[in-house]
Amino acid sequence: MITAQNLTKTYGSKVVVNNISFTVEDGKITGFLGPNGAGKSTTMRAMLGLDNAQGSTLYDGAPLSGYEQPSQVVGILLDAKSFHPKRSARNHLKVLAQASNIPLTRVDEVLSLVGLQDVANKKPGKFSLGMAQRLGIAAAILGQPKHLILDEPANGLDPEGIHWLRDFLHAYVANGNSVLISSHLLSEMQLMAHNLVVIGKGTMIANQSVDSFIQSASTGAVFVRTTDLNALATQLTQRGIVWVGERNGLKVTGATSDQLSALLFELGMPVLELAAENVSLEDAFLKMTAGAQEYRATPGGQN
Amino acid sequence: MFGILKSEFTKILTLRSTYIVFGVLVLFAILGGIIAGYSPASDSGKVFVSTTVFQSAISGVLTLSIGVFAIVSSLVIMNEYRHNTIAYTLTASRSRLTVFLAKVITVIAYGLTVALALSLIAVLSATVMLAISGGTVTTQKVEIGALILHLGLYVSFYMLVGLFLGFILRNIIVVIVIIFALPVVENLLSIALKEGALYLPFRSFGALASTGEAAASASVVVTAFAYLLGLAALAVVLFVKRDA
Repeated sequence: MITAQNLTKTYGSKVVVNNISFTVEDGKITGFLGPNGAGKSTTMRAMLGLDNAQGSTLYDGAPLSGYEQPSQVVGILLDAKSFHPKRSARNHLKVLAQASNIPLTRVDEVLSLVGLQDVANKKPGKFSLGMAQRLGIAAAILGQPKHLILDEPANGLDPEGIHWLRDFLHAYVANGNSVLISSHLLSEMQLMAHNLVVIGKGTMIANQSVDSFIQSASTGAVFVRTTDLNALATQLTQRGIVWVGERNGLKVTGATSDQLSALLFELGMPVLELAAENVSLEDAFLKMTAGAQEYRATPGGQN
Repeated sequence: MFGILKSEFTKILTLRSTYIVFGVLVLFAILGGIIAGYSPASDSGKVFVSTTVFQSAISGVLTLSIGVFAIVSSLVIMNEYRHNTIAYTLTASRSRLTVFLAKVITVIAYGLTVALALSLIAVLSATVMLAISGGTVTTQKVEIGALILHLGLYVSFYMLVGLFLGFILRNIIVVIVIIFALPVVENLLSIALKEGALYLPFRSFGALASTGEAAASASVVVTAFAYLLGLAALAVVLFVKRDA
């Protein structure tokens, strides 16, 4: 388990990470979300001791400096293009393996695992972003670490690559490992992550499971459509249930779809449409981070 | 520590630019040897050969290429920041001081190895030139011990100066300007400072290369060490304290 405690990072008078604490549980993928400039990358760098920050991060109860080979405790991918562009992919990984006393046979293993075996001797300077990401993932898993910290590893990956990454990470945590992953691909994160840590402007917004995060953003509204909307509206009002007219039906809050179904049956009205509001992670994220965005574009592309 | 050292050497040896730079330095060495070994016949047809041809060839090539040594050394750390590999390097070790020490050992070992190779090539080149000129090698006087000590120190100093500047500045342009322009500025200052100019940073480093009667005085050597230690201390503090 990774435990980040009271992480705070300032640049001059600007506080970019403000007293953030969270855990990355074993056996689970923890998504790390936040708008641009929220402080996600800075938090990750602080967790690894790359940036000097206040607070501490413990990996299974000990700081990273307490391990003889830190890169065999935590694998990192902070920037897809973290390699010398003129050093071949194989040699790049060989350098990392030697520094961490990892057997060199592991280099070809991870290259095969990420599908880069055919370009192992090519210089990565000309790699596409997706290929660079794969090389970064290979570097992260080189030492078979228990923990992974990945900063937007899905960026630039093709659909097959994203699918592979999702399956790979699920298999990775199934062995009791933990993964902290940041991404702006929220639909992908909804499929991939078990827990979420959401920050905005350097402060904690949410730290919970994906399901409860989505649930907390949901109004619980149910859309219902039947033949006599006026009669239904009257009945709802009499029962103290709130509704508003929407399209050619009613948006009802304060009653579940089961309750509404039973009411319509009782009233002898046919059910033409009955659907609980479907809140996506994106909807929940936008709702929860509204006002916590460092950079905001002009709505609708207006100028 | 051993793993990190191996990794540092692999970083240098797996880049083509390492060999291109070495190739250029070999050309310098051949040229230096030719110039040092060139002994034209006098009007009477007799060839006069200096007794310090080899020493001149070695000193000449190392003095000529010392700036390149320093730049190469600075790239050992600056490339890490430029290409964002520093995160991997730092998370491979439990202490930044270990990384610092590994880089110090690497650049000294690399510098001395290249210097030795260039010296041998320069001597070989001078020998060939002497033979062409009709001179004889047996007349050579080489103070091996002093040469190794002084030139070894000279090369090591420049390798370390380049490395420490790289740690401190993280900017190749500024490092190049300092390494190539500052000695010129010091030369200009020496007009005003006269003997005192020997205590300027690069003048004191350069004085380490001289042997025999021209060898630097103890106070100049101490000054050179003081500059180097100052740079080292600043480099360590900034490397440990600054964000990667």
